[in-house]
Amino acid sequence: MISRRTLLLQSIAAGVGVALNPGAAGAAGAMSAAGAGRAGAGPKKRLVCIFMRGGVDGLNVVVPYADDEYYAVRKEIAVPPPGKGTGSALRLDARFGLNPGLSGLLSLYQNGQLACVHATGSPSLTRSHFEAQDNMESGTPLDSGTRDGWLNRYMQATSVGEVSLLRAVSLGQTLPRALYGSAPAIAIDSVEHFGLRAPERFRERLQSGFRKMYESGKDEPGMAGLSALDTVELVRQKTSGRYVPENGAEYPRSGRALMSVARLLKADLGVEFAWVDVGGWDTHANQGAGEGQLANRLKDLGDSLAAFHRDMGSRMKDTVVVTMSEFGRTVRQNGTGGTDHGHGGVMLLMGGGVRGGRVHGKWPGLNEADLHEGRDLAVTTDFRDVLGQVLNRHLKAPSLAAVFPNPNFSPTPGLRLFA
Amino acid sequence: MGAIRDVLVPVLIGAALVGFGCAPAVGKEPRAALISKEGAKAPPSHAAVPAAAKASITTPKARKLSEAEARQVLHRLTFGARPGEAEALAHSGLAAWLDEQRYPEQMDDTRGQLALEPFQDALAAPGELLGKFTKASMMGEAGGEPGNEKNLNKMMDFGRLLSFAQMSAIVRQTESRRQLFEVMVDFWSNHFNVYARKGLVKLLAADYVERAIRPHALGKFQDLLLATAQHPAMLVYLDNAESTAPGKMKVGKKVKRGGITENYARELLELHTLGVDGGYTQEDVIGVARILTGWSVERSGTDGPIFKFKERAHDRGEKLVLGEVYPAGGGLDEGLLLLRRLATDPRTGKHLAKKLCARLVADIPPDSCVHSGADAFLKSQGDIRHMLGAIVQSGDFSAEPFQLNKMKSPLEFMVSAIRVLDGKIEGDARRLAKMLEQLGEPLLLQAVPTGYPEAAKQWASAGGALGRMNFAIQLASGTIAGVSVDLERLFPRVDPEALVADVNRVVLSGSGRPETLSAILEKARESENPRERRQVAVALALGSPDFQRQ
Repeated sequence: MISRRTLLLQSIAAGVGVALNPGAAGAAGAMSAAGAGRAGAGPKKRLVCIFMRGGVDGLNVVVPYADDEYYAVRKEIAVPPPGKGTGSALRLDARFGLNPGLSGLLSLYQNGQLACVHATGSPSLTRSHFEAQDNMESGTPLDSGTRDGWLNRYMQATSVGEVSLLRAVSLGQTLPRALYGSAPAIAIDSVEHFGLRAPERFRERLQSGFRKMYESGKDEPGMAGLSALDTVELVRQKTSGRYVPENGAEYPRSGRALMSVARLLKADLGVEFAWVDVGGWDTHANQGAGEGQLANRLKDLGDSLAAFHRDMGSRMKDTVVVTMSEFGRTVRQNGTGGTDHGHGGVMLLMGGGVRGGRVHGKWPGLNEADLHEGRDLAVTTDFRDVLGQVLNRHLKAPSLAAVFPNPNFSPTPGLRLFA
Repeated sequence: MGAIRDVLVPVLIGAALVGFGCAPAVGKEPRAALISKEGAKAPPSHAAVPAAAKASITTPKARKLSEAEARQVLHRLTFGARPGEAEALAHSGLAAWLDEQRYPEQMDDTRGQLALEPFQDALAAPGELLGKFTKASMMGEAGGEPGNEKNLNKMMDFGRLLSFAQMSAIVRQTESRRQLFEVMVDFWSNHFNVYARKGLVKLLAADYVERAIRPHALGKFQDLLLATAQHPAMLVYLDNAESTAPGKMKVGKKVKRGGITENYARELLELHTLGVDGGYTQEDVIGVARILTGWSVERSGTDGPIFKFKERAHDRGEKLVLGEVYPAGGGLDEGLLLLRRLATDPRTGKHLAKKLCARLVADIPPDSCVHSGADAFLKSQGDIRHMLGAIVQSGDFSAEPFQLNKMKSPLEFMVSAIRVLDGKIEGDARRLAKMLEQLGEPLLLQAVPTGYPEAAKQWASAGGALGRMNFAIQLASGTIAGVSVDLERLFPRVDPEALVADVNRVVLSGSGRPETLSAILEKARESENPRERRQVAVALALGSPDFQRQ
């Protein structure tokens, strides 16, 4: 049984502890594994974030096939216009087409379940992966001093009473920057093998021994260990047996993380936010066009998202999936059949209430004069504008002041991502 | 704290700047470069110095280390203390210990060598790897070109090669007496990260650590920088091998359109040298990339892929980087000049000092300690031994607020757990490499050039904590193939109180919190069978929050 225990996050005495987010010290909040029960109060809105690490080439994800300049500067890596043979783009509208690697998502777009927002990104001018990811995940792209992440700040601002330790789950070994902060979040690598692996005869003894020593540990390893023990008990209770996706959904091998997300979301564990990192987008060389390296990575992602959508079934009306990446890539191809770090890119939105079947945003054009620093797709929609609408319209956030404390961007006129 | 401050003042008098690119490897550097406070020249041969004289060279005011100071040294400058090492350090004093550790090539390391043997094949020259790691199904087939990737993918068992390469690091960290050296090898491998799943890097990663990182891990930073810059693993990993001057170029019979790739140039400035706040611009990045065009890889040699400067791919125009003009017509030499400038830039010193202090002192390192390191970097033209000396002797190093204030990385956790139990890696222990991957830090497999993080907040996750508890249970139960621990020898006393006291001393270096010790005692009492009692006590200690700190 889960004990109805409440823990208070405490600041570590100065100098003794390390790196516990000083921002977290003042923001003590109550949390408990028992808070999961709250999920019974009605379908909670859920958000799944997919971070495409490495800077995905937005121009080859949602292809501006009507823009001649695109073909002029991407001789070898341009995706051909719709209907022009193998590897040609899948038509979305009169201007844009989808990379054929994302064919799994085409019907979702056509059914109004998927939307694209083009020329989005961060006002931060850095072309460093690390900085750009940091800027995006902190949610304060022009202020690198922020310690916690935007999603964690949203969680802090909306935790009332007891909150599930599994309110935010990152599928993987570590937490993303966006989830740093005082609100509880956990990284789970595998739902199936979650728990202490010890001989039956003394597993309970170890579990209770660990619990005893971790209950008194207030530092980072201490808090992490206690979360682990609580979560183990909870996940054990709620996910037993083999997972069978619903509606005949078939995940590709690379889609295990999203399958685990579906499993956790269905299991009444109080999961509201799930985070999945996907890598392999840093295509400096030989990125290919409608076929090749990038198209293959996109196929893995697209097929996984399509399987997730099918598996979740009617639950998708309460769930939104949003993709993001730290920056787009250079408009012109480089000397090695790839693209270098750029600026504007593309975000995808899928699920409940999304005004799908549209490519949103203001297209800045690809003529040299229109480009950011003469080389990159300009950003016409700040990523916080997109995430802000997700929080506002989907999660019904009362205010974004705490999440994006310095909203130094102008919302894109007419951008309406939700019905 | 005084003891540490008093030793090893690394005053460098007239240490000749070793010629770029032709510096001797660690070990051949004359010790005369180090001079004592008294100004006496260090004797030419280490071996010839009587122990007493040696001590007087570096530590005129040697005094006994406190228990906490000794613990700090072993936590930060080694991968964890084997039984008896804390006592030995306290006895010899810090100066003698550091002196020995900073010249690893002069230490006997039979044990480390023996443990390495089963994985030695991974350290062969890349050109010889195909013969040693042929896929079972391909045995008896003809060899073929060592640099031809298609051919290699067909013929070679890369999974086995990677696990051998990972294990070669783990066994050395666990078994070698050259602990400070191994700590620095890990530090630099991470600083100059490469990713063994990208293209030919999978053939080159072990060689990269062996021949670019290890020879310079305690040497001059500029030699290390050059070795990484010219190693084919780095050239492939960050794409510089394919970066060329703009314009058309004949490659074999094909005409290829050329152009630069900024990848390596940017990471060179941001991560390897100046640091992200180093004040460079996008123009500088492009300038660096242009200077390094032609720094490429010859793939088809019989020794495997090697560095090659491709004259025809080099951009011969004028470049401007960080305010310095590189006149038109330069070749390989302008790249060497650029690297030398970057390697000795004060901003590089500050960036490196900050990272070293984050590893050795605190996640957010105190300014004074960073200054000491950066200052030593400048005074010694980037001598890593001197930087280490300055950081360790800065008053911060073992100051009370910085004791037990760092969380172990998964690698530090795993290796220290084996070491405190005096565990031995024998034979095929490749499961360890896999377990490290599950803990979140698979060696040679960090895809992003930043390497693995240092700060606790990046490692403290519930999933990670659980993985560590599970590793603790398996190690204490003796169920990890190839790793043997003898709890009976280590903990002869089975009376619960005595057992917990011994576990505290051996596993937790005497610093277990009362809550932790009472939990272990309670569970030890609940275990009737002595064998089980030891296992439970040790598993709980290794999986405790206390053991995650160092």
